[in-house]
Parts: sequence; C-alpha cells; structure tokens
Amino acid sequence: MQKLNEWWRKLTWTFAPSNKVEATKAVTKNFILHWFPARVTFRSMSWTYSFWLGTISFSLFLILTITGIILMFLYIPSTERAYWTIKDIQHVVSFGWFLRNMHRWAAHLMVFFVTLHMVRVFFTGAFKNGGNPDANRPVNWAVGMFLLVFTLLLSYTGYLLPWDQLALWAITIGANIAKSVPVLGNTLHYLMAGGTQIDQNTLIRFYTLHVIALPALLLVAVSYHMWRVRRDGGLAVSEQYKLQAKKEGKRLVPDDYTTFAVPALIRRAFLVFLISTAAVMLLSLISNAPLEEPADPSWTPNPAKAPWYFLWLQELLAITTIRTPWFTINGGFVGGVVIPGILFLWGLIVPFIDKSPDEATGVWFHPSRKLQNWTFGLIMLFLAFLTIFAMYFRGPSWNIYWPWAWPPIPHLF
Amino acid sequence: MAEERKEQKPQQPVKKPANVFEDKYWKDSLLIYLLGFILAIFTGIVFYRTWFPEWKKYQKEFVKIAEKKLGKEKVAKIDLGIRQIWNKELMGPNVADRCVTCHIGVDIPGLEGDDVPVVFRTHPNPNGLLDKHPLNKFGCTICHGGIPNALTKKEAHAEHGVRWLWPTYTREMQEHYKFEEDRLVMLQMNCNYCHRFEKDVPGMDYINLAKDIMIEKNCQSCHVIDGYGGNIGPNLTYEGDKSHEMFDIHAPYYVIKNGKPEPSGHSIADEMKKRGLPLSVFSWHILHFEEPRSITPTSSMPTYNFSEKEKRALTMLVMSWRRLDIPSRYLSHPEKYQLLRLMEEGRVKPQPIEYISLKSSEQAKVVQEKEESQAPSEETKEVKKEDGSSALAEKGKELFDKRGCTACHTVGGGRLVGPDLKGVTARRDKKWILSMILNPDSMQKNDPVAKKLLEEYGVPMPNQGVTPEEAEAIYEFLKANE
Repeated sequence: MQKLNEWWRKLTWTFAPSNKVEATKAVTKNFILHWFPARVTFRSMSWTYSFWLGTISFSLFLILTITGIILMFLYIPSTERAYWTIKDIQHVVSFGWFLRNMHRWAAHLMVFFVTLHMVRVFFTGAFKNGGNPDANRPVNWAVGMFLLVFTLLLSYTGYLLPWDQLALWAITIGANIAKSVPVLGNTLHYLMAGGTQIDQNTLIRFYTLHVIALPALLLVAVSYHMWRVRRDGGLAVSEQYKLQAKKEGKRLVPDDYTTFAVPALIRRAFLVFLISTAAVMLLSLISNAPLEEPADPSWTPNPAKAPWYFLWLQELLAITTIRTPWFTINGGFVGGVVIPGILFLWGLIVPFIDKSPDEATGVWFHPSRKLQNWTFGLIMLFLAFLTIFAMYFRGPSWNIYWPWAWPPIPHLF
Repeated sequence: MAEERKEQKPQQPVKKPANVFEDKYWKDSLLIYLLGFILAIFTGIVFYRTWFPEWKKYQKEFVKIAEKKLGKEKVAKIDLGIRQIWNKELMGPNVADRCVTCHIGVDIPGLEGDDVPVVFRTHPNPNGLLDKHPLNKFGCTICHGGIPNALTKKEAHAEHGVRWLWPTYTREMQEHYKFEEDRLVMLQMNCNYCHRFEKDVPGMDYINLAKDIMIEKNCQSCHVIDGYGGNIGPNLTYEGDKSHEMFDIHAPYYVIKNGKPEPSGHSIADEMKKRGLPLSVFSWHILHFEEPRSITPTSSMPTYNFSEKEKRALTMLVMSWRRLDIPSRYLSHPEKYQLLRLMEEGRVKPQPIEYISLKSSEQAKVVQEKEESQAPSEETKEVKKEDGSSALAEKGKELFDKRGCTACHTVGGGRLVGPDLKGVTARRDKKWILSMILNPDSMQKNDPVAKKLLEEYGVPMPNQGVTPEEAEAIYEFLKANE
C-alpha cells in the first residue's frame, strides 16, 4: 500500500503543496503539467481580463475528442448506412443521444468561443510583445488564425457526416462557394467532393479529414499555441508588471506579482473545464441535435443554407452578385475570394503593422489603438450582422422575410 | 478584479517564512465542489433518460393487459426489450422496423378484442393479408409509413414537427383529410408500390376505384402514365416523387365564373385553410382534381365533377406512383416494372402496360352475369327505337367512352376541352370526321379547318389509336345523336 501510494504520487501531482519547492516540483517533474509555467502572474489569473476563452475552447476540444472517439465506434461513413447509424445512436445506443448532442453542441460552441477568443486577443492588443525580447506573440496570433480556420473546417467536415438533408445541402452550398472561385473553382470543388457531386467519395474524404487529419493538425498547432504562451511569459497582460516596474524604477520580486501554477492555475483551468462541460451537458439535455430527412440529391430544400458560421460568406456572395436584365456578375470572385482573402491576410499581418506603444500590450481598448479596434470591431459586427441576417431574414428563394412571416412550405401529408 | 486591486497597492507584508506561500485562490476549490454537484445532477438526469425510455412504459402496460387476456405463463414467454423486424433485402442495410417494441401484440393471437388498446392489438388479417405478407419478413413501415429505426412515438410515427416525408397513415390523419371510413385506407397508397400494375386487388378499394376512373377517362390520352401516353399534360409516371417544395401553395386560387377562371382574391393555402385541409401536397391534389383550372387557370384538363371519395382516391393513386428500390421478388408482376424501366431508358418503344385484374373468379362471374342480363334489354330498347345501324352505333358509344373521347368532348353537354360533338355529322362530311379520328396529327398540320379549330381551342387532339372499323362505329354513334 505504501509502495502504491508512492507510485501514485510520482505519476500525479499534489493539489495542495505545502511549500514553494513542492509547488514548483509539481510542474517541473510532471510530463503533462510541463506545458504550464511554474509561476503565473496574478493578472493572468484574472477572470475578467481573458474570460478564459482559450481554456474554454480547449475544453470543448477535449469534450469533442472524447465523445468523437466513442461515436467513431458507432458511425459508418457510408451513404447507405450513415443516416441510419445516426438514428440508432439517437434511439438505441445507450447514452447515444447524449453523446451526439454533446458532440454537436460542443462543436457549435467551439466555433463560437474560438472566435470570441480572437476578438478578445485583438481588443486587448495581446498579440504585442510589449518590449519583451523573448516574446513572439505576433507569430502566436498567426497560429491562432490558422487554429480558427482548422476549427471551422473541422466543424464543416463534421456537418456532412449525418448524411441528412441538412448536411447534404449545407455542404453543397459550401462547396458551391468554393466552386464560384474564378479559375481554380472547379478544381477546388472536384478536390473537395472527390467527383462532380457530393456523394460517397465526398463522405469518406470529409470523414477522414474530420476524424484524423484535421484533429491531428489542430492538436499540433494548439500544442504549439499553448507552449508559445508559456514561452512568451504568460498572457500579454503580464508585460504590464515589467513596464510599470521599469517606469517606477523598481526591481520585481516574483512573490509580488506571481503565484504558483500548482495549485492556482491548474485548479482554475480544471474549474473552467468543468464549467464548459456543465454548459454543454445542459444544452444537450435541453435540445437534441437535428436530424432531418435522409439526404436526397434530387430534392433541394428552399432555402438551402450553409452552416451558420459560413452564412456570412453565403450572404456576402449573394449581395456581391449583381443582377441586371442584361448580364449577371457572379459574386464568387469578390464575395468568395477577394473579401475573405483580404480579411484573412489582414488578420495575419495585423500584429506586424500595429505600431501602438508597448503600454498598449494586454490592455482592453487602449486609447492608442482606437483606429485598429474600431476597424476590427466594425468588421466583426458586419460579419455578425450578415450571419444573423442570413439566418433569420432570408427565406425561400433567398428572399427577405421577417422571421415570423416565412411562407409555410407544404408537407406531403 | 478583486485580486488585481489588491496587488496594485503593494502591501509591505508581515515577514513570512520564505518557503511558505499563501493560497490566494482557495475559493476555486469550493467552486469545483459546486460544479461537481451540478455535474452529478446532470449525469443523474442522463442516466434516468437512458434507463427509463418511453417504450418501457408501453411494455409495462402491455404486460398488465396481456396477463389479463392471455395468462401469466404465455406473457412470460414473450421477449421484452428493444424488438425489431429486420429484412436487409427489403429495408436496406442498418434499417430495421422497431415498431414492434411498443406494438408487441401485432403477431400474438388472442389480443383482438375492443377491450385491448389499439397499440397492443393483434394485427387484423383481412383477405389473408398477413399470410401473403408475413410480418417477420415485410415489417411495418413498408405499408404503414413512418421512421423505421426510431423508438419514440413522435419520431416513429413521424408526427407533425418531425422531419420526415412519409409519416404513418393514422386515423387522425384521415380525419384531417375528411375520409369517412373508420378503417385505415390511406395506407393503400403503399400497397400500390408493389401492386402498381394490378387492378381489382382485394383490400385496395380506393386505389381500385382510382384505377377504374383512370382507365375510363383514359388519362393517358393527355398524360404519360407508366411511361406511355400523350404529352398535353405533365408526365405522371413518378408523380409521387415530386418534391413538396415544388408545389407553390401561395399562388392565387381561382374560381370558375361563367366557365372562366377568375382570381378568387386568396391563395391556394388560404383555400386549404378555409376547408380545414392541412397545407399539403395531398390537399393540393384534392383541389386540383376538383377543378384543375382553380389551381392552374390555363390548364386544359377538363372538370370531371368527381365525388369527394373519387378525388381522394385519385390523389392517393398519383401520390403512390414512386420510383422505389424494392427487390423484384417482392413486386407483383416484376416484368411490368422491368418494361417500364426499359421504356424509360429508350430501349423499348413506348407502349401501354395493361393492368392485370385480380377479380376473383366468383366476383367476375357475378359481374359477367350482370352485364349479360343488362345488355340484351338495352339492345332491344335500342332496336325498338332505331333500326339498321343502331348496333354499330351502340358499339360506337362504348368506344366513345372507352377511348377517352369523353375526356374532352360531350355530345350535347356543351363545350369542354374540345367542341361539343352534337350535330357534328351535319357540320362536317364523313371523310373529314373519320380522318380527324384516325389521323388527328396530320389533319391539324394540314387541313385548314382543323388548323383553325386547334387555334381556337388551343389543345391539340391526340391520336387515340382507333382502328378504321372503330372509327366507323364512332361515326355511326355521332350520327345517331344528331
């Protein structure tokens, strides 16, 4: 028993270190916790600085991984069987409905929270080094942009798997957006679909991307992302301590502005994970993941809408398409390539062209960054507006309706 | 926020031993306990929902009722839990009918009575239906509709709000459509998936009626049905597969005034609501069969004044025409389905597919006797009235009805799609009439009078494949009614 206890202690760590040595060792001697720094600044620990959005995103990723692996045992990526295995998961498999609901809700939330995380980082100027020669936050911001893209792609590839009408037509719309890209469009569409239309080839491509390729990419990128945070000396707000000390000409003593990662940081990260889990569970209990009619390529729902996180793109395409009685200019180039491309590129390089002073690092809405914040804020508001508009105000034939005045579509019976 | 403020005013602290530190965030531990409590409650709910599903309540009730009717011993032998009927060949991979999880009694004799709730009753077996379609092979949804794999009532029956096109045909649904029968009739649609090329099938009274009307009115003179027919109206071969999104129920509804359609001021959907019909394709067809021009004002389809029952029967028939992948050994007369496929692929010339009558020999005898007893009396009447060509005219009348002329023409009943033929033999010479019956296509292309008529009526007369002798008979009939 004594021996067992010792082994256990070596494998894990103490939640309640009695002194500083033990607290430091808890991190340095443990493989998993090695991700974390030994010490963490008080302001990094604050709820209201970061809202822990990154931790929430990663928690959701963990939930998705766990539920996703179980779902892989139950799901068959075949156009004939996929739909029915989902029905079985919902009705027959023990806890199946719950697993699927968790997976669906966590996926939607992850897209949402990764986006919020990006917004937070921008508004706090957290991609700035703040005069720290060791930090390389602009690169981490760029990695984060790619993480957002991976998250979107993961969600998008997962959207097809139930092989119902919702899946088929949302993916078709998304694929058509890719198709409307000039010159490369058809090749891109062919590459995605594995043929000229969404069928078995597409399903297996999306499945493999969804369960192996993209999660692996995301895991590598996110590992680097989090390790980078540790290398950069914690959250950007931590630079404020050094800047302040420099101004006041003081020497910083670690105990004045930091505490030990064990237990404070580990415990709070765990707490955030629990809160995320509870929120996803609650949503899963309240609302079931949708499953519409089996996919039918011969019947297009009206209107067919892309997944919500691509609705802004669909709307952008619709409003940049100019129709006159004599000619039609497809919005594929402007709405599908130019605008999203400029947005993404601007996002990548924005930390390098942001010339605000070091004092603006890790501060919400710093006055010196008014221009940047307004630009970014208006872009995000515009995209959110497009999304909401396309979600609630676009009815049959992509016409504009009040959400409560949609003309009813007849049932068969 | 609190901790930030605290550390912003650097307190010159009391000397602490260098090694010891203060756990400023100890409150997080309490929150973790709180979250643990909440998560435990959620987990409890998840377990409850998984362990006490809806179907277990049904099974509990079933056992209670069945023990009263059948005795405890018999009931103990029944397998409980999730039950299903699985026939991979018919239903497809990973599809199984789980209806029998709640409807346990369907294949247990002795639960027939009215004192057993409908859910648990033994499946009735009219005309030996179940002997020809054994439950354990055919399952339930192929006839009754609904979602196979589902295990809750709402989902399995595909009740309103569930995304599924072909819901279970229940008595409630029949009430919505104002069927008068208390028995299930709408599911006859599904019978017709496999019995498409048969008529007078026992137990399919609605579909049988509709098929009789179809043959009598010769719908194929204007519509392609079963791969063959005229092209004045749309192809109806797979009308049942038409997407519900293609039916525009917000288009204006028309009323016929003085023989002409005029906008009623409200939409088709409003008309459905007015009549208490659901907003559906089924209702659309009912309205369309009642008066085609009230839906499509330019339609050249005549108004037939069908009865309420006939409208519903015809609606069921056209909606049953679907392209389904049913293995051929489940089909009645698979060779006819094969012929239809070949015609569609253009490998065989379009040709009519005759329906096989399943009228039992006894029934047939009765009908024959009836016909025989009626025929002579009529003939004698006719002979009394006129002489000579009256026999030929009689044959002509029969042909006039059978060949579908009545779809467009009346004799003394006024103008329909085509002109009233009363007195036509006086208006035009015999040769003209005969060639119009025999070769309407070339007449309408070349003959100035026929051309003018086509212009006036707008609908070309189709070639009905009448032989010269038959044409002669029809002429005699028209002449007799001058």
